Amino acid sequence: MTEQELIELLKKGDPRAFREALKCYPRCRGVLLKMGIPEEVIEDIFQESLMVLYEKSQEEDFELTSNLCTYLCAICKYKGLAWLRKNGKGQNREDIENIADANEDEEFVYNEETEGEAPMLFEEDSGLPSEEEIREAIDSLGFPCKDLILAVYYHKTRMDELKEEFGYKNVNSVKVAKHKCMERLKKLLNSKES
Amino acid sequence: MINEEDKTDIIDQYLAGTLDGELQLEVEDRINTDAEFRREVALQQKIIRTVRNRERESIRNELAELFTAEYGKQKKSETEEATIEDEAKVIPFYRRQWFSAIAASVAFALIAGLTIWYTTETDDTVLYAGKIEVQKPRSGDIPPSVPDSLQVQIITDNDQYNFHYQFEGQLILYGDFRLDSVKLLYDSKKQQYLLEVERVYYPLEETEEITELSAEVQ
Repeated sequence: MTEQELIELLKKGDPRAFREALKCYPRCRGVLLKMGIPEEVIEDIFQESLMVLYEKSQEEDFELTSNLCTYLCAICKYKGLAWLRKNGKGQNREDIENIADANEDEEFVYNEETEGEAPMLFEEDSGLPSEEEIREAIDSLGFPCKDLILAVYYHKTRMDELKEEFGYKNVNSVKVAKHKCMERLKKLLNSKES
Repeated sequence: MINEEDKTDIIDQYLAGTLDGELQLEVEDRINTDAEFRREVALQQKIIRTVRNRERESIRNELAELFTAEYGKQKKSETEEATIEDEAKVIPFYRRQWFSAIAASVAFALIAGLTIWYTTETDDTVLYAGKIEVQKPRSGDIPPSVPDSLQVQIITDNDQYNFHYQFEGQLILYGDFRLDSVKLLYDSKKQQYLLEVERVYYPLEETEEITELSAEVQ
């Protein structure tokens, strides 16, 4: 299986791609152990890295710049460094970089400096419903609105794919449906607020 | 000019930082001058964030389960407290079929017999699969959010279920059905799908549970 075929499978969430990814664990574990990451944290870091891999693969322009394990272990390494910083294991940036350099066999093919959610644009959201209320409202939407919202905002599924998967006539119908679903959700949340 | 139909899309693009010049200025202006619009943008941002958190948690739980199946229970975590059957009920996320498939292939060999859910997922033969057009049965228009057709699978050889359905994203029918012998209708008034079999209507509740079809009470 070529890397490109692997990516295509990963994008589709094909089990074969994830079986391949799970095989990388021993190697990535070795990388993390070498960095001084405690055993009890390694499993979490690896699973979180698998999440990143899956989410990255959903991006339209995603390309694997190395083989799967190298890429996945590089994500692990990045996350391992973040863990070290957060937990004060490296005294300064130099220490951290030394730890990173100690893994020379792992090419640093993944290096997303700005990983993580962008800050909320509107900090003063005290008048907004809580995340729990939003979750409940999403669940109460039912099919197809709930599924459509999840597909659009998490899986970033393309409109033409949604047309096929949800059985809409054309892309414009998908857009209208998405708008209506979001309106329904907002109305539901606003009615709970008032 | 932001109109009602484009509003959701425009706010999405604004939040993603992909909006073009003039519209960007218009949105910024509305945010600064229109408190209601500002609140709508804030709410949409919070909804998007919540969706992402929700889905990440679901997938993370699934991955933890797969990982444990492959490499064994290496440490106790809160996700492992629940049984696999419980986990399966918790996560009806979009495109979960692939996780089910991995779970079935990786976990099933190791924990066969623990969960009927996976057994039924893997052992059944889908005899018919295809799309069925959604028809309108009574007064009122079908809301735009209702698709023109639904993906349907028919499983004819399940020992346990013989006139049942499961409706979660797609419709799975258990029993002696054929794609051309059933119709799918949408009742706008009750906001509910109905399955028509030999001129009898069966309301379909959206559910991940496999449920017996029960004729509509007139």
